[in-house]
Formats: sequence, structure tokens, C-alpha cells
Amino acid sequence: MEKLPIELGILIAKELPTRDICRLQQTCKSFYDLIEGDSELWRERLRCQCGTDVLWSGFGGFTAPELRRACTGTLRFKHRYRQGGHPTPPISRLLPHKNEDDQLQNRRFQDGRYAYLEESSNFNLIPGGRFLITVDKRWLRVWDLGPPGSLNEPCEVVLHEINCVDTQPKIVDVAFADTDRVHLLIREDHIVREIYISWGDRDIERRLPQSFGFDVSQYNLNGRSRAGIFRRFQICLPDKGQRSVEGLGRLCVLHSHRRRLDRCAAQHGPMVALGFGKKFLLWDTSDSPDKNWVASTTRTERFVGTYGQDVGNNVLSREFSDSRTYRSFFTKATSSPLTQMI
Amino acid sequence: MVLLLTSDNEMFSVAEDVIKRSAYIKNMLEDVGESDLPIPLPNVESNVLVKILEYCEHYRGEPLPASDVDPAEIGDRSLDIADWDQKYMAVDQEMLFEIILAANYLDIKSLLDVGCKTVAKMMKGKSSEEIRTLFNIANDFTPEEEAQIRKENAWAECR
Repeated sequence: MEKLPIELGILIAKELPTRDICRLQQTCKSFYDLIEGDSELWRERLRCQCGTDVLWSGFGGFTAPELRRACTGTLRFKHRYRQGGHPTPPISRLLPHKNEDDQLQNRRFQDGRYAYLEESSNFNLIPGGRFLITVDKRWLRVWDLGPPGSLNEPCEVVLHEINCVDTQPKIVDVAFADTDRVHLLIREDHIVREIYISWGDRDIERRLPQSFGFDVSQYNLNGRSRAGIFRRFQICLPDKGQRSVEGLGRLCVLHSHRRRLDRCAAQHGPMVALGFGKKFLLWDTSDSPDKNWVASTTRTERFVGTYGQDVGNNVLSREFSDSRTYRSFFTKATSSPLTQMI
Repeated sequence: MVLLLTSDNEMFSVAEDVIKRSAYIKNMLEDVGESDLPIPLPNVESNVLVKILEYCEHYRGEPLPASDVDPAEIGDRSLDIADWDQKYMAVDQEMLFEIILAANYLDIKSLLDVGCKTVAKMMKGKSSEEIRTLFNIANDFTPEEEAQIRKENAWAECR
């Protein structure tokens, strides 16, 4: 039998799918070095995988290992995903990919949702790009993606049990507290009376758990009443030393706003501003962390947006063009942890 | 007619339109012009040149492929090979590699493609160990190196 000439390696590799290129690469040192260092081979491979879908098809300035990593990203993710047990952040959803043997992206339910959406957690990149927060029903995780340009695999640096009963929590807001600490606000949605479950919302809204411990009969609730349970965490991510998570309290807000409340809050220091349509609420988490609160919202004259992140002079929202309106809320907030109890 | 001299000193006389499928020879003829001197091919043996000429003869008269294709338009390559080419490539491995090397040297793009595709097809879906056996590749990694590489590439092992 004749030995495969080394100089044919690249010519043949150009005809192979990504997975087979890597297997050829692993046969001996010469092929390993030859294929590892050939940026032209990997660039062409990446171009094939992306198809005509990308504007930046030049991939200029990428080194061979970076290109190889980009080419193999989808396959590596799929491998870890299939293995199960080994937690993987949902990074691949952020990357463009089209692969000759990639079925993951095509596996959709009939109603158009992606099959892995249910099992995956909600995620949010902490400004700066190094750390990624993910939440699912049970766990809050923080991933270290490495400093910019790093080729390391993402690794889990924080794991904290949150145990949302049976709804998928959403990340509402992530804000810096100081250089080492981040405040995270997540939300679970529930409706108060099961009879009004609509088809569309069935998967995201469930009956409010009794465990929260408040007496439903005490409030004037109807079928449109909803409950949003907010939880606030402080995540410490120092350069050196222990990375940790600490709960800063839990707030159950009763409201009747039907729309989705994806970005309804802003945080600054101990204060959280929450907006629901024309209703507004300030929540002070400073005096009693880890305490459960129940609150209704205060009616305002205008729609309250809390999209503006913050801040300066304790102003939480840029949507408040009328400073007097803002002040009245803030005054109330300082006198009581909650603007108004029902 | 063009004269070709192989590495084992055999002289071949070939019609110009047949051998022009080789971009290397075509360019040389254009550069040198009419000449009675043979073109030396120190990298090609006579038994391989016979095979190469069989290919060029078969495709005689067919248009030469366009020289440059925009790489962005290639898209995913397929490993489909025409029937005649498959029969032509049904040779032992030594000859297969010789043909590819010669096609590379003589710059016969279509033959090079077919050759590489033939090898790629043999390789596709096989494990690293199977590829080593098939192509007689010696595993020269140390056990530590191999363990490390296997760990990093565990995703490539599953099918």
C-alpha cells in the first residue's frame, strides 16, 4: 500500500466536509501541522458553511486557528448538546452557521418555534462581553467566555439554584453596580386565575404558586390579573478571588397589563423602577434583602417606559421628561419600600 | 505535434490540442513558440503520462474550463464524479496518487479535482484510525499528544 503523500493533504482536505478534515488532521503530525496552519483552507470552508448569507465573506484578518474554530463551532456545540449533562451556553445561536450535516437549525416544531428553545435558558451578555448570564427554571449560571480574542471554551464560573416553579424566567435587566458587581433582575410571569389562560400565553404564564405566601382573597383580583415575580441578584465577578451570587429579594407585582413585559425595568443602586403600561413602581431592595414583597402598581398620567437605563442623581428613567412627576415617585419610594400597598 | 520527455527518458509525441489541457504545457508552448526540442517532465514517469494522456485524449475537443472562478460563488462542493471519470480512476492507490501529483504538476485542473474527490470519497465518514490504515499513515503522535488531540476533537468522533 502506498503512503498518502503529504503534499496532497490540503488538496484533498479542500474537498472534504469539516468533520472529515479534522479526522484527517488527527492521523499524524505532518497532517496536523499542515492543516492547522492553513488559513486559506479554513477560510474557504467557512465561506462554504456561511453560503451567500454573509456580507463579510472575506474573513480577512482571521488567523488559521480562529477560522478553524469558527468552522467547527456548530459541530462542537452539537456534540456537547447531544451529550447532555454537560451544560453548554447557547452561544451557537449567536453565530451564523450553515453546515452540510447540520440538522439542528432545521428541527422546528410545526408552530415555528425552534425545538431547543424550550430547553435552553434565557441569556444576557454582561456589557464588556466577557461574561454571559443564563437562567433556566432551576439554575442561574455565569459563563466566562474568556478575554477578547481568547480561544478557550466557555467555562461556568457561577452556579446558583433559583428554582422557579414551572415557568421559564426571563432576564429583565442587567446593570453594573460597580466594577466587580452586577445587578441582575429576572422575572417569572403568572396569571392569578387559571380559567383565563389563553392559548397563546399558555406556555409562558402559569398559575401563581401558592408558595409565595399571600392571601389572594385580600386583593381585588379578577381574571385579567397577572402576577410578575421579580427576583434580584447581585453577582460578584472580581478579577481574582471568589465569584458569587447573592439574592437581593423577591417582589410579586399584581397588575392587569396584558402585553409582554420584556424590558419593563431599570436598576440603579438599591433601587429598581418597574413600569407596566400606565403604572409605575419603585422598589427599594436595600433594607431587607431576601424578603418577599407583594405590591400593586401606581397609576400615572402617561405611559411609563423604563427603557432608558438610568442614571445620575438617582434618576432611574430617561422617559421621565417631567421632573416633578419623577420626584413625586421618588419621594414616595424613599418613605416606604413600595410606592403603595393595596 | 509536441514532444514530451518523461523522467525515465521515454519520448512521447502528442497532438497539441490534446496536451493543451495542461495549463503548464499550454503556457510553455505560448512562451517558447514553435520548437523541435522535447519538453522535459522530470516529475512524471512514462506509465503515469500514459494515463494522463488517456484522460486528455478522452476530453479532446471539449472546451477548457474557465481559469478563475470567484471563490465566493463555489458554494458547498459535492463529491459527485462522472461515470467515465470513476472508471478512469479505478486504479491502485499508488497510481491514483501519481496521477494527482502529475495533474497538479501539469496544472490540469479538472483531473486534479477528480483525483482529489476520489480520495476524499474514500476518506469521508472514516475515523482517524481507519484513514491511517487505508492510506498507510504512521501515527507519530506521542500517547500524551494523541490523548490531548482526541480530547479537543471528541466532537469529530461521533457521526
